[in-house]
Amino acid sequence: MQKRIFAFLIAAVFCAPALQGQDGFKAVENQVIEHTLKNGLKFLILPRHEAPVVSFHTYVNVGSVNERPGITGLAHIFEHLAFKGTSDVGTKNYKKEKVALTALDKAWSVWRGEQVKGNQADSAKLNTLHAAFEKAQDAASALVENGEFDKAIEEQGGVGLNASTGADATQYYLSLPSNKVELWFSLESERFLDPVIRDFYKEKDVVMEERRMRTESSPIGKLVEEFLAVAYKSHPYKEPVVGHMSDLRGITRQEAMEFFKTYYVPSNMTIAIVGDVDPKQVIRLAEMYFGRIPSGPKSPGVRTVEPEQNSERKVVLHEQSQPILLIGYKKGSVNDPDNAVYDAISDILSSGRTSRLYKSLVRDKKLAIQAAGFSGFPGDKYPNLFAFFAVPAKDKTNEECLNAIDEEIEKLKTEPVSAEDLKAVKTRARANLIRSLADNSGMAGELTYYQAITGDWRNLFKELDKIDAVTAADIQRAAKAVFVNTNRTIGTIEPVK
Amino acid sequence: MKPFRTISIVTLLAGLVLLSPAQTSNKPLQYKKLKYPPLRAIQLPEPAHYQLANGMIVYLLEDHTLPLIQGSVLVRTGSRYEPADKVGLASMTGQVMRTGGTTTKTGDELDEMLERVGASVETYIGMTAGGARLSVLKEDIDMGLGVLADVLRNPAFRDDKIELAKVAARSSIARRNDQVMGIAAREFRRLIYGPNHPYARMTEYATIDNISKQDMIDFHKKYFVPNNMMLAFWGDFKTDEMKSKIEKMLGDWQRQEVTFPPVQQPRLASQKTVNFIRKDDVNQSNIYLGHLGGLLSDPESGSLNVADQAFGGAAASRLYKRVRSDQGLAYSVGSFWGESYDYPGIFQMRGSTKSGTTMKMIRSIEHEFENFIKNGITDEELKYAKDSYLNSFVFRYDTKGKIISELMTLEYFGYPKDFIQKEQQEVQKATNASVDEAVQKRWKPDALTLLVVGKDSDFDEPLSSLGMNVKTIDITIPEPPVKMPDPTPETIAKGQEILKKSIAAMGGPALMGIKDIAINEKVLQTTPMGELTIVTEVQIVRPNKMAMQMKTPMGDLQMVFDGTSAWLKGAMGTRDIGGAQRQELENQLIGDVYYMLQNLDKPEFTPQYWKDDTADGKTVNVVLVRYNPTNYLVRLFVDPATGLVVKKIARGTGPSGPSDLEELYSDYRLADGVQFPYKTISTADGKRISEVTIDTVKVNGGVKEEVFKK
Repeated sequence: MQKRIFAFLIAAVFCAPALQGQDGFKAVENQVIEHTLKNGLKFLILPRHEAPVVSFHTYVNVGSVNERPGITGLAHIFEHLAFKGTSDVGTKNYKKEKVALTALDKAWSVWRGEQVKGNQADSAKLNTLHAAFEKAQDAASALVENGEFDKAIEEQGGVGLNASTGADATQYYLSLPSNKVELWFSLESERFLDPVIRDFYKEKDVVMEERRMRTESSPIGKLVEEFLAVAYKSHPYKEPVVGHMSDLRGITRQEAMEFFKTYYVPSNMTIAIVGDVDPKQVIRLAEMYFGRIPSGPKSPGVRTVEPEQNSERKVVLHEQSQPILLIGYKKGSVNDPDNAVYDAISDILSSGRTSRLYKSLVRDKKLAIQAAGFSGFPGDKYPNLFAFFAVPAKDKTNEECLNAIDEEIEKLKTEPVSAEDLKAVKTRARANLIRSLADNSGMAGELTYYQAITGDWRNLFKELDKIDAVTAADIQRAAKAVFVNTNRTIGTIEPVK
Repeated sequence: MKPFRTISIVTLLAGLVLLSPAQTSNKPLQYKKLKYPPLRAIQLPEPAHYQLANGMIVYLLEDHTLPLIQGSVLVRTGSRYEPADKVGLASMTGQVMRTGGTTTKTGDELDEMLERVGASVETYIGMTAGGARLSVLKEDIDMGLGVLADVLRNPAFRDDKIELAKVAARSSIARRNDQVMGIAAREFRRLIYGPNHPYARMTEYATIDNISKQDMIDFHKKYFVPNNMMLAFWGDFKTDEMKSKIEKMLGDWQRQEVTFPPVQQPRLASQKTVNFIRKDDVNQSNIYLGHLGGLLSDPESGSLNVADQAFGGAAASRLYKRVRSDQGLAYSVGSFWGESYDYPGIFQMRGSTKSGTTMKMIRSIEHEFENFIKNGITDEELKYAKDSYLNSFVFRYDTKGKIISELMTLEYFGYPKDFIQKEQQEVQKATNASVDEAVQKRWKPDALTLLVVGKDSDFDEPLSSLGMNVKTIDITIPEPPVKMPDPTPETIAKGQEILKKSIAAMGGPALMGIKDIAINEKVLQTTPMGELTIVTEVQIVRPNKMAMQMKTPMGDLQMVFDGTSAWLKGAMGTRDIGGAQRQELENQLIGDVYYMLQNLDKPEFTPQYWKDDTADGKTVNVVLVRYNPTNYLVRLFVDPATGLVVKKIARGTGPSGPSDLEELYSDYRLADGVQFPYKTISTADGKRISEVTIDTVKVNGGVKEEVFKK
């Protein structure tokens, strides 16, 4: 969900002339060093020596799409658990802790067994079992070295320590002063070599709070969840990344471990390191630290394919909120031959004050304070949505905004985009590309994204060529194919007083 | 040209090298066993720093890594200098300067020029500074610089883009209560600085309406002058060439003196308070606790930053560990010791938790806070906090943009150029004792303001269990004042005709002959604590005397206006009513329906027919009655079938500030020959304030003069 609309490219160039022509990007490409370990883990290294800092990005090719009913939210829960440490980090005494954790799981599962009886549950028994669980939890918690993983990084000057889970992927980020490279190798390799799932039940509470914050107490959060549930009928893009509350309650530690073993195999992970590093040394450390992770069977993909949509779908939320409009049209994945065409359409519709949606809805008709259309919602890896949203201006309605968006869509279908407009799209793509080169962390993200999703990081460069090849006819053709009413879902928030 | 003193990154980063140089290890090691080589030292680049003859300060820094040029302008201005009745002026001026185009180019033309080549030039005015930002590919610098200079010097503030900015501003107001996190952050700020303080006040429909094109022109003209401005460029250019381009574009701009309106410094709260905002559509409470923070230049700033990192400012901090990891109470929790350059920031501890653990979370945060003050920072926490700060220092200088922004900001706020270096030394020097002392001095448990936004019916315990009075804050958005048309001879004639009919219907000569009125009534008042019954006797003597005796559950109260001054008398003694409140009382007497009807012929009053509307399901005529000396406007809604006045709306002060105060009249009965509404329902911006039921009315019964004596 976080992919930038124009994530075309990446790689670096340190001599300006190299970027002046399209061929210059070949020089950039040559600076990216690719190294694959025997276990299948791929490293992409891009040295940039401007400042003594380095950014790391671990892209795990697992997201909420890999969940099944009953364990929704588990990819995200695991992301949280990955900060809890190993048998050597985050514990006061692992031997004792291991025993305590087994006892805790047992106490939880007995308590849970009674809970799921619902109305038939024995309330006295519930209280006893709950107390026993709390006791077991306290015993396990007493052996935890709380926050050790975070502290180990922060005290060495690490910044931007975070992670995110989306529909397609789970990603872990960090930047360090460049003399601390080995710290990352040690901690990152061990948390995926030997993770210990501790503080599991408390962390589930934390995740439930996250769900309350992002979804249940936020009108827009609710809209997105309901919208996807309606837009998709069978593909797991219909499920919320954060998971359903009942699943969050019921997921077990064992399920989390199984999920880890299935999806956190080296061949399912890609790592990019961008910054002030010596590639030879990085490769040596990669072999030494990550080479320890055993290879595993190839992670399973998603079997279900969303069937063709042949009816218009609609969901309306009545909320204590001003109106919001969300529209989605089914389209192909990031690997669809028309991907660059969608990106061009997105730029024409949404980029800046000269974009068509801004000019029509915001500037001229004053119907909205924000309006845009973008490709790749809620993910990129599988066929997804070309989505539009509008934030209606005061006293304006979703319907007025919908009609105005429809007019712009109609224009895309019926009038060829001018040569001048198309040239501007390409010029902006190049400028955005050059700007993205300045950011280590952003670049590390782009490299892993293209490698993992398209199978080759070089597609970064090819994307730029592809957008150069987009014609006015391509845009008309794609618009006619995708922007069809029976292929769309509309979601709105309507205000209640 | 002033020389610029270089700060060597070698000195800045000296504190980072704690371990002896070592190569990376030969086998995988646990992190604690690792040894690190020293951080590579780099020379902090030296920007050219000089002043134009007109006083503009310029920074230039070459950076040839990418074919890009970035620019930044800093102007000494800010929303803190805008007038209180025009909140939003600064921000809109900053926006329309660019969107509204210049004397020679429209904003749309500028958009086209820039976006065709993927460039941008944007302007803004924030709370304590204004300015501009530029980003262009190097080949477009002449165009970009041209647009930048033109926008700074010659903005045209075209009407269409002022309207666009107003649409956006009004829409933001309408949306400001949609997201609970936004409500909590905003209202906490208003509690800390005061709701109307320039550091916390909000735009309202009324303040947006008050902003004119001329206001924007004046605001820009006053502050956007070269001697009040700094300009910086960094990127792929040659310094000498850039200097001459700047001179050519901005060198002939004439200096002009600038004076700044004073801004009152906010004060630390004198006591603890508990505040609550009800939001029934959420299942999680947003909790804020805190008080006024400090300045970056405070002597204990270094120690406080260490304390903050250890207490709640990071993932391995105490608050995060105890509230999130240990108890699973929150996803989001943390603290922040707020410091700004020239005004106190906000110290805040915040988090969100499910409604059912609201009080548990508050108690948990308070407990950690008090414990930290009482027992101090641990050795381990001190080391962790200092190391985190010192080791991450390099990230403050890892791009040219950060380096130059930091230097400009320090100069803007009059801080020494080596301020950051000194701050770093302060952190390095911090000890358990210095941190504990700073915390005890600056963290104030007795001045904590608590704000909770959430669904109180689901709380684990009521907020009142904290043992303090809970203040409920109403966040209803005040409606925009209705725009009234100017009178014309036709509308005045029609207005007079309608009201003449009302006079006849409501008593004719008996109404015109009113000299005094005495009313006994029951007032059912809606208060934050529930409904309150007040038995009231109102005595009015024409033209302008009024006395009200009120029997309330809290005791008797008397309010008197004797024609010139007003006062309140009760158990607490006598208190004069002055200023706006007195004016409000006077307006009430002027706006009294019977008084207006009696004086319709006088030159002070102009009635005008406005439009037809509905009231209580019936079509009614709306007549505006203007009191000419003060331009006070009252809307009277007359039932054309009966001639009775069924509703009145006038601007006034409601429970949550300036509002449209509405009175709905019903149950008309005859008393002493005059028709009186025995029931009146009052609302402020649609929210119920009171319901009044008359027991008795006496006209011309002779009110005693002594009731108007102090």
